Amino acid sequence: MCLRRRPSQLENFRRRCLLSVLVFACSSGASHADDMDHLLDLPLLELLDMEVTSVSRREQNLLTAPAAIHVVTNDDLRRRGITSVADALRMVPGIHVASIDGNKWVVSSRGHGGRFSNKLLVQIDGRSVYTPAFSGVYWDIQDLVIADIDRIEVIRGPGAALWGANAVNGVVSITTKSAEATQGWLLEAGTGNQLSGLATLRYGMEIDDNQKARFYLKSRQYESNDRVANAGDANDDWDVSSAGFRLDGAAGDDSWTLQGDLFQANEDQLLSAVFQPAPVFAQAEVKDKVDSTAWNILGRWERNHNSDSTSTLQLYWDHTKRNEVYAGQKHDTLDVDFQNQLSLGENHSLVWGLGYRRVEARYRNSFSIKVIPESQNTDLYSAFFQDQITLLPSVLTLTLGSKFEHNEFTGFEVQPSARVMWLPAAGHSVWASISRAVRTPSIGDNGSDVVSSPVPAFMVVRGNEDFQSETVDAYEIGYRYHGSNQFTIDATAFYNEYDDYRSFEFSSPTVLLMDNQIYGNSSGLELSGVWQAARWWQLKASYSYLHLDMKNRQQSTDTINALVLNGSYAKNMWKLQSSMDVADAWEIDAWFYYVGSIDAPSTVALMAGTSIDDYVSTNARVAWKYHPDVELSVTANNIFDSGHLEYVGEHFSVPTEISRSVLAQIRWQF
Amino acid sequence: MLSSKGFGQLGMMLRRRAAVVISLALILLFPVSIEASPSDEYRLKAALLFKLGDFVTWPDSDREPFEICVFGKNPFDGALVALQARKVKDKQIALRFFDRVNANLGQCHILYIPASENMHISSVIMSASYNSVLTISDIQNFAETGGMIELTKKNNRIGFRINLRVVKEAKIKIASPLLELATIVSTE
Repeated sequence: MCLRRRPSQLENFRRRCLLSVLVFACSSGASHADDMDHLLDLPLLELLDMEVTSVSRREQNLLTAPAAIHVVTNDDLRRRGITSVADALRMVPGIHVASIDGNKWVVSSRGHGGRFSNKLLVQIDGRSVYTPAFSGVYWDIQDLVIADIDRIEVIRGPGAALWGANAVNGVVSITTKSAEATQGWLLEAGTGNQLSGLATLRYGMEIDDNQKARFYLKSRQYESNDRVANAGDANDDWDVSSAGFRLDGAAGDDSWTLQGDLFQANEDQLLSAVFQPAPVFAQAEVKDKVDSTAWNILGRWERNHNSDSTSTLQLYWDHTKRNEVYAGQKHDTLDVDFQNQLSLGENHSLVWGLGYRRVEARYRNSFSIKVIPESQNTDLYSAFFQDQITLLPSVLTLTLGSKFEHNEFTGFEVQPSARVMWLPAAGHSVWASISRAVRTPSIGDNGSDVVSSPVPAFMVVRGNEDFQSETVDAYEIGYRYHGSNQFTIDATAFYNEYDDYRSFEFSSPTVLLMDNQIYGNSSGLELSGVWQAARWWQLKASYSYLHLDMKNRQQSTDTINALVLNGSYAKNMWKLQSSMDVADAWEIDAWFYYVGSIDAPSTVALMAGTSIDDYVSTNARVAWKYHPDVELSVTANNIFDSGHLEYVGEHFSVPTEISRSVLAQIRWQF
Repeated sequence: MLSSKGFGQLGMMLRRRAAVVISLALILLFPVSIEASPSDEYRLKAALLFKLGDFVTWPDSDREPFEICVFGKNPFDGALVALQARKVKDKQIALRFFDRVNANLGQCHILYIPASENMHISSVIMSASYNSVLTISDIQNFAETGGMIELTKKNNRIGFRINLRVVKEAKIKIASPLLELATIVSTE
């Protein structure tokens, strides 16, 4: 039996090849076609009796993953005419996405939202994109060619055991397609009343049999929205451009990726006030310009070892720079990450890894906002392991894991989790988990001065060197039904216990010092279902309920933060999507979502008594394939609503209504 | 302007890293030609996809050609090419590759979903569910989550797990010699 003999020959061949890779071009002498024909002539029984020594590791099935995971696919993005990364998350069950204005977003999972929300870990192709100054994400500068995104994995609940600190309430991981999957030209152009100009150019090429590359250029230009109560233009028009490349290669057991991007955004913003020293105190309604640039370069090397083991080494350098009237921020991040996956016997599937991250931060301080010190470097060391233990094959699996991190501000942090997956019968899966995650102090928590009000005297919120990590202990259970191919259900319930949450404590009549005097819990339910109603018609629906109960410890003097935590989320949300394929060439999609009222979106809004009314958003897209390579589409958002308020941001934000928008697009691929 | 003072240490480190990255890039960009050869595993799996056709009956038996489809990244390298010269039940084999989920997936007789597409199982299976498409994958628990035939590995050999319930739902019949070789996951 040829297969049984072949592995050793093949492996020797590969080894020789690897050694000579850089010097010689090696070629295989054997004819695979002949071998293949021989195999095709064998009876089934003989095929099944063949021994293959290097069978690749069996990929875990996401539908039996013991976590609340949802995947947004490339098709989902296309079918909703998505043009920005934050908006791509709007229809994910349980995720709340709100626009503060045209260029500022809030994305939250299970509460604790806000523009500077720090409970969600976001990464793009393995590169963390949160800003170390406040551990949140500037969504405006996260620009990607949407057509080149393969998928967005969203995990609600802690993912810290694998992903590390800040994965308190969720993880968003965006993966772009390989260069091989994006060969040829893609030209995209669009125009509309809000997004007035969109242009994308991508070219994917073959360098040789083993290496493929792609390059892209993208640009978008947005018009401004209006302020609430007909108060005029919100001065939030902006543009963002990006360029980048990706190269993927493979030879034998090795594969590698080298990719890089460059971003530039110019944004207008309207600030409710900019504080100045006495006797001026404050300038009201300042029109400001944000200048934001970023670039990154990432290399990843993966090797499949002979039996059931894969190693990955990844290195990236990420640079971001952002200037606005009250602050300038510059961050350089160097990150090295090693991971190894291996199977130990039939029943243990182990992943472990080591990581190092250095952040060099430089700030330009102003009277309103100071980061202290203005120049600082931080090192983060991390290690993790996860063992997936098969207790009963195809029935019961236990996953144990933990992340161990050492950070500059709080030292060692341990973030363990235990998860069980039980498949009682085909089509049913039940899971449960207990996990702990922490939100480590951001640079701003550790040292900063933020002027919060000029009257009666300048009030300052001050960072604190003794600020501790915020913690969550999370308990989750879930159920999925996959018994039919036309109907699926996914349900999750959770209870979180939070401790050491950030509070502002009076340390003098004019200074509020950051401290950890808030604790509490949250509980919720997330249901979603998909129904393939006909060959050409799919319906998706989801509902989520959330309740937060955050309290101050007795000695706390903070009267604001718990109110904002308890008031800055939508208790109820539902989402409904309909996707139709009509007569081969047409895609007709409609989607609706309801976001419940939000009482206190931020401190500023709480003080001003501004709350957010609940709303239903109606959206639709019609696309026509005029030619197999050419697609014309029209997307309309907030169809029955000329404008509505979705959120009011933390600092200096002016309440802005998000307008109805229409976008016409053409996509040409060849 | 932001000060760039104090970048010395990292700067030097990064310059050194940059040198490594650049030389890496040069190595990578240097044309290396190794003939991509299908692995033993995928040659065997390609042969299995072909052989399975003999044990399966589709309701619309006249449908021609016999379409063997792969969704997403093709892991077979060249191993499937030899199938094009073959016939299943006197019907010429045609290979089709899909990179997006659409109703045309329903035209496949056999649809293979590689391990790399584990994120897309549900949407692929559902969009093919109104047609008689035999879905095959080696993703873990594929047979428990709506898939029809899951390829397993035991003692370095390949085996099958079959979800008979979804097979029947799709009006597909699997002959008993194949069923006897497989682990039946759901008979309902």
